[in-house]
Amino acid sequence: MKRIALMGAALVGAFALPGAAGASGDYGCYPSWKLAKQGFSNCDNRAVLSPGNDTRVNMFFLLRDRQGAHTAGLSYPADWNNLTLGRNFFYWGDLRKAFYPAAAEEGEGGDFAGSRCISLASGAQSFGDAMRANRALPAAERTKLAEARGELLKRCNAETAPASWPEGVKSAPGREFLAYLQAAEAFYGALWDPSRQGFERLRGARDPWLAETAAYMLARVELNAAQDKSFDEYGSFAGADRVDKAALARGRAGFDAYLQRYPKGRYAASAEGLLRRAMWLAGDVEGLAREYERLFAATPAGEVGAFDLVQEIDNKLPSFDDKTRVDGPLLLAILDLKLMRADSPYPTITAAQIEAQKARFAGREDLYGFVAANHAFYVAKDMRRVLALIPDDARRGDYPPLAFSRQVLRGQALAALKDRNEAGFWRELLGGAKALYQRPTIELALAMNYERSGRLADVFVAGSPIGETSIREILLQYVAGPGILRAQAADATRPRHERDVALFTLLTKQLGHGNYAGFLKDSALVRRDAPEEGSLWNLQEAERIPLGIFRAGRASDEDYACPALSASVDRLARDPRDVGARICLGEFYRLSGFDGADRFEVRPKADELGGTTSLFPGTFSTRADIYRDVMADPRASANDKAYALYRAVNCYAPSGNNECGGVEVAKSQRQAWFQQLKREFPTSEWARKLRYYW
Amino acid sequence: MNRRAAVLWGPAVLGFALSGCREAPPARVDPAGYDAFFLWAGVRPHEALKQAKTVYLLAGEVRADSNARFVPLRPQTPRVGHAWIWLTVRVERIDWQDGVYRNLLGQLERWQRAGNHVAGLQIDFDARTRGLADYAAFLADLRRRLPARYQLSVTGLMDWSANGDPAALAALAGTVDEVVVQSYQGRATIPGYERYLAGLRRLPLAYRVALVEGGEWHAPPGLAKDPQFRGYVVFLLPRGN
Repeated sequence: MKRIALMGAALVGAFALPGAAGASGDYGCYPSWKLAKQGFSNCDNRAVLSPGNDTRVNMFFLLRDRQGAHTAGLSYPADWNNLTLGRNFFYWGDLRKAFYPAAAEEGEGGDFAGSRCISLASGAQSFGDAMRANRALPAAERTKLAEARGELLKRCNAETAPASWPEGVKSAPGREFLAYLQAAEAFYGALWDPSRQGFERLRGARDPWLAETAAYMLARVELNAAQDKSFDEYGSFAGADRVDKAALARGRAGFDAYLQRYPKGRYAASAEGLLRRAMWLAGDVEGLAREYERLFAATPAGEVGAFDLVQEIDNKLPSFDDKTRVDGPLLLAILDLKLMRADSPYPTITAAQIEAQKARFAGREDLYGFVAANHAFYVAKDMRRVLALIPDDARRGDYPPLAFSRQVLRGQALAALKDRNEAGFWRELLGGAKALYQRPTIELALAMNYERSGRLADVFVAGSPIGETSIREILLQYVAGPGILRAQAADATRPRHERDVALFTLLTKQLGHGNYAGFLKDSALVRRDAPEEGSLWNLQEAERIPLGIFRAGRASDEDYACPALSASVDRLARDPRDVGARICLGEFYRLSGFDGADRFEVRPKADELGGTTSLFPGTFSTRADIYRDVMADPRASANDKAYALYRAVNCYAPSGNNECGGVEVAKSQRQAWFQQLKREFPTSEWARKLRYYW
Repeated sequence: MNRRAAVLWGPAVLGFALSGCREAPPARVDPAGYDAFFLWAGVRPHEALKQAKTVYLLAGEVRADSNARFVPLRPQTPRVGHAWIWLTVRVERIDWQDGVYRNLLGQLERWQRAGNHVAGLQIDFDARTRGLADYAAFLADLRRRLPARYQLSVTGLMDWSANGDPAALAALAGTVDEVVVQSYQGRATIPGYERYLAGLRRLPLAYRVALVEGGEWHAPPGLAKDPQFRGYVVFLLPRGN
């Protein structure tokens, strides 16, 4: 942990691409429900390595792959309940919870994380322990010295007041501990010369803790001195050419000497991390890349240190963007995939460039073939080449990350070619898709195949291999017809949320599509204790589906008197042209929260799950449609027509945005409605009430 | 809100004044024509920063995997004499433990003490999927914790302004001093951004529009005249690739 903290205290941080840095989250990150991922977004990483995955995710899976790590015994995080991501998609940080459930949450990092003062707090503890361990140190001096260590905080807080040191520290060890504090104060205060001199002297201290710590601190002083002038006014690293090379060399030598003398020393892990930092400061990209390639194999995948290592490498990855200097196949593959991203500010990597790397992947032909196949799939769009590069291997008992990624990419190419064996391929692959996040991936592939081949019913049939609630809910909302919705609403083997989404979708579409008799019959399925309040914004992410709205939703206010929804629907079932009942259905929409939430109108894209044509017969009549029908209806009373005009204009109040659904009409049309209301119904309450149009 | 306004609008007004004298920015965003920038971690400073009046500096992140940790991304305290600076934090979750607040407010103070003109704190929330209501409450609480001399800015909101729950959005108006709205994804302008901005205009919220260096931009008609519009912020890209 300390090693990482110190190396992470480091320098340039995450990726600076706008896609990574700021774009995705700003309008909320929603996954694209499909297999391919070429553009970066941070919430929808997949178990399949891809250009669009977070580089850390690709790296993490390659590290596990490299070590043949299994996920046996692991499970999805218990508190995971985010149906918009399901178990298909995850953030980088989710992997820590999934793969290292026993690891403690990362600690705070202290008040000074990211600077050399990070060690201020932990140092106090070990300083105290060391003094207690030294029997020759008088207790009174120990107390004074422990108190004096608080002086160091001034330097970290950038206060200008000088430190005040205790009087009367006379013993030999007391004077050494005091000298240590003074050297440390100089260190935190960025006074390298006195700090260097102080620690230099203490290397020969009689107290073993002081001697070891001074040796380590001496190298840290050099490292900090080396980088002291390498930051610009914005606090950014300004480049290796601004680093003091002589001090850096002394620092590297110092850490080497420390590790030689104290190979299992208390600061060994930190020293190793700082040596990597020294390489980085020196601009030694080749050396650092070699070291990381070594650590891919040497850092046990089953321990959380592997996760931290990936994070560290990723922080340094921008330095590796010059691929000619990176030799290891794992780092190279990660960079190559990144250079296939859509929306990247960098030039896309070419097939010839990948061809030229072949020798550098020697011994990792599987990885090389995968990189080349990704280029064929995402960049060249040559699906036959994908098939040629990745032979069918769908009948294994289980799949390490790379083998899994290869087969899924092959399946993606089959899908793109509309190969008639695609579904069979996925069904075979299901058998070995056992590691975390793998099975939902194949379920998504299979569901999309069924959806696109007229076999939607196969998704929902008893014993269907597609069990992921998120996948099923998307198909229920956007594609399923009434029969499937009704059956799913009643299927006691499915989770409550999924059944409620099915019923909510059924009832909403029955109302909107004018199947009033069906609504009256099926609304009996709404259970007594169904919640009456809740967001209609996004059913999938709503904790509870407010089915009770159909029974007890608000249907009237002082503007227009309406009975309960069921009574209006009853009238519509007998006469679908009943003007008052239609207006009342509009009132229900308006007052019960259906406005603006254009749930089923904004459909998934054609290449995403749920992107095919809806199988629910008919089309949805929005509130806007209702008003236009009433305006044109010869049976409508003067008051009803005036009210329809009033409401139609108000659909755009006050922002000019349409809140009634359907296609937005031009402002001239709103003006025409406004004028019609004033002209034809000048004495109506609604003409008097309406002062503007928007 | 008003109490702070007089003191705090400083940088914002500068940005506005400048935008007022520019009719139509070029179609490709050239940093040389702007005076407010985002400087992300790991991006080498651009020439254009010399003429900057406002710089949003990414200081660190609160990541999805821990609500206890502020992860610093800027290796050293900045020392900027010529421009207002904002301490920007990229945030993946908002259920912060106390240490995060302490760390952040400590950073603000250290930046201030180092001689910077610190305009305030900017939250760049990488929302998971939960609603705006929680975010508004979080920001209100943050505003209370933040010393009054600092402004509070948030990024994003494009989607919210188009589709967001109006009540929750209105709640932000009393809490934050400005919203910086992103107009781009990658290097391309987000389709339909005009509608987003139109939606934003109905709110009593000052806003800036974020552009990406080298990206496409066509200002919608009337933007420069909108009294809520405080100018542009250009996201600088890494160089040397």
